[in-house]
Amino acid sequence: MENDTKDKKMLKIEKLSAGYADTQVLWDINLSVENGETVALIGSNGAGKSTLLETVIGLVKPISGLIELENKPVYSDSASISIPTRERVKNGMSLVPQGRHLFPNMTVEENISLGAFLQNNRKTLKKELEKVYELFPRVYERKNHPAGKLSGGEQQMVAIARALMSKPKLLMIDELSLGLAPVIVDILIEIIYDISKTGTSLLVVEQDVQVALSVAKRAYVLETGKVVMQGKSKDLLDDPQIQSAYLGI
Amino acid sequence: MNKVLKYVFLAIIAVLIATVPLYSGAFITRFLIGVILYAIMAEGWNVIAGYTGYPSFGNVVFFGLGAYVTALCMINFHTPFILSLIFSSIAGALFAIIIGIPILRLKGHYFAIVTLGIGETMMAITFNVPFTGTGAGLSLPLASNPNLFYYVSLIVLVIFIVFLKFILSGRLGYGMIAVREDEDAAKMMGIDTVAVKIKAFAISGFFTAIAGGIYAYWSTFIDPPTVYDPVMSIKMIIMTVFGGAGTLLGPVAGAFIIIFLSDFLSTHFTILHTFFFGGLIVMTAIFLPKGLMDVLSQKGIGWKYFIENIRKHRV
Repeated sequence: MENDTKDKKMLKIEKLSAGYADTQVLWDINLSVENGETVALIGSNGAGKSTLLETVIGLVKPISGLIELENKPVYSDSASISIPTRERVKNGMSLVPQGRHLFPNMTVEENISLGAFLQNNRKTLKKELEKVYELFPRVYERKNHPAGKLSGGEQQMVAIARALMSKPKLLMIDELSLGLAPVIVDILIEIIYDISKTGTSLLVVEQDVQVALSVAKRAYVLETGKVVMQGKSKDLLDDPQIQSAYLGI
Repeated sequence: MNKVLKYVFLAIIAVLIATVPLYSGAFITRFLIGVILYAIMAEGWNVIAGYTGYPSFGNVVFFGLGAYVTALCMINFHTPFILSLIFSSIAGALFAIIIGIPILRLKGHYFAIVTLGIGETMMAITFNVPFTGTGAGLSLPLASNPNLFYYVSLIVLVIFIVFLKFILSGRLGYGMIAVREDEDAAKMMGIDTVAVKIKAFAISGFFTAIAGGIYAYWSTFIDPPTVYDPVMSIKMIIMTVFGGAGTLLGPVAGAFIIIFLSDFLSTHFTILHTFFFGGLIVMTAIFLPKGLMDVLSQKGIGWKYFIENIRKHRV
């Protein structure tokens, strides 16, 4: 049983170090996401959460370590493998970036369609669009609006919808709830559940620990570029250190 | 019925445009050749800057290169004009790829400054290389029929517009616009942003070089300061921005209106007309930051549109 789950790792990160130019941000990160699992990544500002996701998708170059997707290395310093971002997307990774990064002057539908850029097939595109619209009825209502004119919550929905269009096996979301109204956050949490139910693995960066631990069964705590704690969400919620540092209890 | 009328109307205009040299004088034909050549160049700038978001300030380098390739082919190897133009276009695209690989990594101001430098560098090189005739320039054979230039440039412009329309409805077009809108996000969608930028720059260089080749044979004399004139780069930018950057026909409209106005003003106000470009840039930036095509596409236009523009785009 134990071996079985080990074989099914969606994402495995070992001893990963990364940074920008002269500043190293991540130090020997070890992290894994099982097949179909939702994992949260929490930590304060500047802990390196966004850098970690950007390194996994290939926007930031690692210094050393190993990143594997479904047991196949996408980056490995020992085997000197580093495949470009588009190959990682093709192989099933997708990122909803912090600040959403929509294409502001394009319509919502164009934005979402661009998520399927690598799926070069107009027929399946239509089907995929319908699927995504089913998940986000509010996005469908706005499909002909320029994406830059939507509200923050709607933009976040478009960003998630766009990321889903590449049919990811591993969906990474950077700052799910940042700056959004609680009502919207509740809707997004529901959507995360729905996405998870389809078998997609998720790695969610979240500053709001309560939100993070309610969407994920397992979580990692990042502090100044290092994993300082990890475990089941339930245990973390009861941890006195977490309570004092993040929950103010 | 309305639709039929529209097509008949468009067909009549197309025929009128295509047959200008048959019914109008040499002056008008000459004026229109200038317009069309600038329209090709402005559209070339539009591809890399208007659609892809990389404001090149040295697109004249492709024009100069194209002019010199056509001139050298025709003088040294007596190749036919059209074949020389093909060589020019290939040279333009290749040059765009070669310089594009290093400089398209730069963004915004840095990219603009480097492109400005490349135009100046090519001028200096041409001045000092013996086979280009150095500063003395090159004289080309005279064309037997001056109307040839009108037809050739018009055909090139039409091919360019049709080609661009085709590109824009496909993956490359969406890739270009995605790069302009948000390059990081484009990368995350799996778009090969490096390839998209280089392809866009190559298209830009390809057609701008043809314009240079046509110009060389048309004017029968070229020298470095004329064909590498940085003011031409600026004119391409003004025309495109005035007409509407990132629109298919904006650069063509911009080229026509600006050359018409500047020719008219320079004959009537010999000194004052130099203020015209400066004034036009300022007015366009304040009132029409999105260009003429955006105004035309609005349904009902009033003071509100301009006030909104001032409010939104003020520094």
